[in-house]
Amino acid sequence: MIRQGTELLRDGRDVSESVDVCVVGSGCGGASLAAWLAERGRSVVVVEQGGWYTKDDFDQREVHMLAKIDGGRGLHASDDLSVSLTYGNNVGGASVHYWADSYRTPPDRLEEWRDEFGIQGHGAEILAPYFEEIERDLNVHLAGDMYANTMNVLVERGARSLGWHVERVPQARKGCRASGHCMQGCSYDAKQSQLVTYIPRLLAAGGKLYADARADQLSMAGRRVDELVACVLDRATGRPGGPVVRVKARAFVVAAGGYGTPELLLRQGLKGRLPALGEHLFVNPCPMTHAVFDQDIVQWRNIPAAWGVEEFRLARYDGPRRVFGRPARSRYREGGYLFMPNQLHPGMLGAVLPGIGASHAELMRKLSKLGGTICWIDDVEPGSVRVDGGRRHVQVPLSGGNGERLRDAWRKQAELLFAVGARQVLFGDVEDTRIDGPRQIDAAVRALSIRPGRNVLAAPHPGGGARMGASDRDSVVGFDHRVHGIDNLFVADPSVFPSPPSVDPSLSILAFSRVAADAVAAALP
Amino acid sequence: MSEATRRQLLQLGLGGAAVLALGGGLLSWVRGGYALLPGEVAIGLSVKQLCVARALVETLTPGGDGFPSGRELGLVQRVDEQVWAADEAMAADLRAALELIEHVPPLFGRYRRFSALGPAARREVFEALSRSRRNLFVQVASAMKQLIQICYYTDPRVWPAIGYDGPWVKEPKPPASASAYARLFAERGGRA
Repeated sequence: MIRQGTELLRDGRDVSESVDVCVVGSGCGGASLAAWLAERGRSVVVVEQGGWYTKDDFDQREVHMLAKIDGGRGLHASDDLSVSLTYGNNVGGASVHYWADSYRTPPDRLEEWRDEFGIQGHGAEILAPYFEEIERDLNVHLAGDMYANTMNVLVERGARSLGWHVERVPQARKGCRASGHCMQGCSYDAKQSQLVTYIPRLLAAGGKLYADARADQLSMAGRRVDELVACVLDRATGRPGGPVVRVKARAFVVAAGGYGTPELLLRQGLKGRLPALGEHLFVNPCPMTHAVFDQDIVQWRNIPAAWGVEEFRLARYDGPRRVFGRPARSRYREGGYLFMPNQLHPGMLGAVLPGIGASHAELMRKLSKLGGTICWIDDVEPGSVRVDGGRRHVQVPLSGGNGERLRDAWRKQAELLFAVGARQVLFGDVEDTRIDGPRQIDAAVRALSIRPGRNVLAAPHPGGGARMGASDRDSVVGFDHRVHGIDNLFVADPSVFPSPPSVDPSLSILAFSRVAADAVAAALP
Repeated sequence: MSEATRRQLLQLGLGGAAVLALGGGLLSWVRGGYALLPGEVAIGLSVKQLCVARALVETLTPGGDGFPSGRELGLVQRVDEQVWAADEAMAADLRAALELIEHVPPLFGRYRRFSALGPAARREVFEALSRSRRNLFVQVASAMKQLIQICYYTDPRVWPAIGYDGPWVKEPKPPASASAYARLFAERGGRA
């Protein structure tokens, strides 16, 4: 059963629940864990701040869908506006707007987490059967040729011509219509988001979900959480409407996403006993590069990424490698990002292309011939989430190792775009840097400013703000996902990752949540 | 924006205005002379802020040569709607950004309010703001540019000019906030 804000506000009364498990958040981490526990016979309530929308609500209009499914209506940014914060705010979380790229966590990253961060119980052998199960549940398969739009074909061809490793991207889709509106939510239920996978399973197993309910307070009694209080939001204004939902449970799981989870835990005053809370944030900052071609590209149709360049997923160094949040011991050479074709519809493209008025319009008039690429930077300089004066603050540094990666990503994108016939490459910065040939790349990229607000960078894959580890001195949860020092409070989302997974995080989140579900079940006598 | 940055923004916006008001002895320079056009309603913004937003819309969007103007599209009401629907902190930032833009021209050698400048001078001031050495100015310009351009290029009346064939789902389904705003707009005498 799903209960929504409109119904609760009309009713006007507080609601009380008493269950085995209360889950905050219904994205990849929360919805899957809730379904697995409900299917094991546990009574489960999920509390979700965003609204419940189905395919019939997904009208493929960018502004409408930003308001429905994106956190802050797509307007939120880091404190200094260095990056736009991209996150879900709806039942199903970011899985509703994600591209459906569905990679297993690479074994090299799991080994790094084990060797460098001491992570236990999440190795490749343990996760392998979970990945197999999740891939079946989500119909994950490698993107076939029918998914490749012109921009994808060019990325594949360009990468091969440059000798770069390029692969088909695994996709969680079934019956895709290739409309190109993945980021606005799938109007055909083809994308295998939480909305059409684990949430229906949760409901079928008797679980309950409250939409439009913002988790505000976790009431503590000694070493245990006793109750969650969530205020019911008026969906039209996003403001509390009066009633609250109170949930008493034997276990509580916070799965409110990479920004939301540390924020909620910080609001409970846990920073004093858990100094790592809100620290070690990574976001995968995304530099975009645009290009004007002679041929039609029509980047907005078919799926965003059928092909991905994996050549630069791991950074290359002269000497020992650099690990997230640790001082450099070696000289960076290149890489440290996944490289994809980009897909933007005219609203977002208009917002990120440089210039104003007529000059901007001239670019937009070439819409069908505009293509581009994007890289997910594996950040190495940690950011933070803080709560001050009642307001969330997100810091994302673009300096140091992050800046090195940004410049290398811009350079490689321009190389590929010229290799496949781009007439002009634009970096989208406020100086409107445009170049007409590969010889200009080095000078242009060196001159690009990475000071705040100078570039358009999204931050779509946050995590690390409640990272996993052995000690409460430098981590927030243990290897069983339990918050240090609190017996019945768990975290199940990318906040627990010690560093970026180096690929789209959805399957990593799901597999880790599978481990968390086992831990929660074990904690319930 | 951080609290520190927001404070800077407010200080720069209001402080700059105060300096100029003292210099010219004109409190009305800060407050006076703002009027809505027929059919406009200020809901998320003040009347003054709406007038600044209108001037910005005219500066940032094209018009002619196949492109409808921001005014024809009623874009300033879309900006007002976004501010109304934003969370309180974001709405406060956007309002402060408009106040700053209105009173910043003297720092770039133009001794009139932004909304009172001619089109070429507005464009010049906005571009100077965008490329300023001050991060805050760049941030304000970027935020307003992105907000206005996304509103402009998502309007179906613009799509023929850019060759966008539009969504496959034919019927728009606006979010709850849009319907609530439309009711307020109509109740207060707004006309599209």
